[in-house]
Amino acid sequence: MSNKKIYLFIDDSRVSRMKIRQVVQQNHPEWELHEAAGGKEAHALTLTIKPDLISIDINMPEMSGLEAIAGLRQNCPSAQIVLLSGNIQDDMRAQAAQLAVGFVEKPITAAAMAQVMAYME
Amino acid sequence: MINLSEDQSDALVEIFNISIGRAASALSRIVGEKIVLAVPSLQFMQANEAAERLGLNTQRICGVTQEFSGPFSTEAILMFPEDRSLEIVRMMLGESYSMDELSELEQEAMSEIGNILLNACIGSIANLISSRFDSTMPEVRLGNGDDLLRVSVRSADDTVLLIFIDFNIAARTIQGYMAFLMDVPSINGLIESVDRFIAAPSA
Repeated sequence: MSNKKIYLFIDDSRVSRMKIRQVVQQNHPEWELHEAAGGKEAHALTLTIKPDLISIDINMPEMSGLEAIAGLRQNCPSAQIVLLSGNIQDDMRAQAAQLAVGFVEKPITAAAMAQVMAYME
Repeated sequence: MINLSEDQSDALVEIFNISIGRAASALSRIVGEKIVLAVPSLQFMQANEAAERLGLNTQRICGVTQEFSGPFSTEAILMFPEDRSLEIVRMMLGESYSMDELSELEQEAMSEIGNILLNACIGSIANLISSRFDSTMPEVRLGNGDDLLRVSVRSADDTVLLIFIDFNIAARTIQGYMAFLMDVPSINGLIESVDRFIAAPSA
């Protein structure tokens, strides 16, 4: 069975997307990586690609990560979805649990990304 | 004039101590260095006095501001000396980027650092007082302390509570500051939250 996974990461911060790409490429060079700067862009992207893993920031302009989840789930019903955010409020963790998505705390470090990638293992 | 009881003042410092500790832990993970924290200071003052009182008018500052609203509202500001921000960005992104690339990414990187640290701090406060806050997107501002603090309040005559803390990236002697500005209605909301924190049974 192939270990190749398709991973879509959504974050309005270009620097965060660079960090995510850097860590994941080091750990899983075989994975196919896609990125989006917001929920709308991600929604359009998931009409053509079907990621196995999606991580999404919460606090983004136009559409929050929480708002984007329903559309992503509709387009990618089998994807594991993880909120990757600096918004560490218990209320956000509770909403993540309610939506049955994972939650990993920023900043983006090798350890944080290991938690995200563990949703695929 | 707003007076806090000894218990309220103590609880307020404790809440910010815990929360800024959380932010410092996030900063430590971003830059890969130990962070040394001072004890927060709480001062009521007029908005136009704040920068002068803090001695921030003599240097150029790179500030990241974000407004939070919940049981109380505050404008939170993370500040670093502008001439050290590139060094912080290099610590965040690693050595593989050229100076040109780092300069191009500097503002976005500082914005993300501010977003993570300010949310770590306010998020921790929200959890301590069993409440929630909404926030605006982070905004990077450059200028001296007065420029940064003055634009954050509606009127220079407003009474503001300035909760101020400085922290050091120890190995680099880089000093940063966090300030939380509140007007009188927000201060009252904060005091109510502090009273609930004092009255809440320990979990």
